[in-house]
Amino acid sequence: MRKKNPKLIISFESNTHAIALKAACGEGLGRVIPLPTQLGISCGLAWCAEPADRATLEEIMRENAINPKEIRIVELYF
Amino acid sequence: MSTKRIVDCMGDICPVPVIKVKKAIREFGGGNFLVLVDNKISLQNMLKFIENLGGEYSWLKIDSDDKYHYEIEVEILVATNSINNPDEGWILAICGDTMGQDEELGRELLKAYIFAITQLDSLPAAIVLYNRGVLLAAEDSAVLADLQTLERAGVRVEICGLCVAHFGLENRLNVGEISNMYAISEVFARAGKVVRP
Repeated sequence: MRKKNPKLIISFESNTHAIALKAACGEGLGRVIPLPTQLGISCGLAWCAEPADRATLEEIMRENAINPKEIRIVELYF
Repeated sequence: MSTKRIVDCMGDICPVPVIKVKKAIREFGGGNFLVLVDNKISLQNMLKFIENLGGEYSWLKIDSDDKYHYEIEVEILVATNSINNPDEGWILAICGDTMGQDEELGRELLKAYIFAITQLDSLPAAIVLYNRGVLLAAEDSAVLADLQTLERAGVRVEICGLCVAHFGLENRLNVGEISNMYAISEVFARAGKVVRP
């Protein structure tokens, strides 16, 4: 039985910031996904990660001048 | 004990063995068969075909000198015309490794699309990969993890064997099962809806 789990979703003003976060994180701290509809109806990209990694990701974003638009917990199938 | 009929498919390539066995089942109305094939793709296709018909099988690899072949013992109790079975939900048919014509954008769109499929409440019954779509099942595919997630959730991932051979992916697939055009055509025919992005 599939079950939804809480995920940390970060949206951005620009898709380039999602790509920049991917470059900064490499493997292991989440992945780029299409922006979940709970955060908007644009065609944009978002970052999906484990909620426990929030502080680490916020630090990486600060270091790399990546500006999040919104950071939220969203239930997704994983 | 019922007579075992031999279906000799030595030297035949996909999908001829499946066609021969299908014809034998129709002709004799089920029963026991010994099917001979001489390549792994034909073996996999045959096992899948028998499974789809609800039949039972066992198989052996027979080595002799520098050659080998497979002997598949098949038992079909009732000849089944699976084309007449009720539909099995919706099917996702993917014939490329991009979504749309621009390659760079298309690859990103397809990645996003496959992820979005994982988030649907109602998953497809099967995903059929053919032509360049089979590249998505390879070990270096950017959508491999999402396809594996879907497979674990019960979605059948059926991959065109001819296409796999064309792209030389026989030993590089990390999700799904090799299928053939007969099985694929039956999957499409049974589907309530076929979606092609």
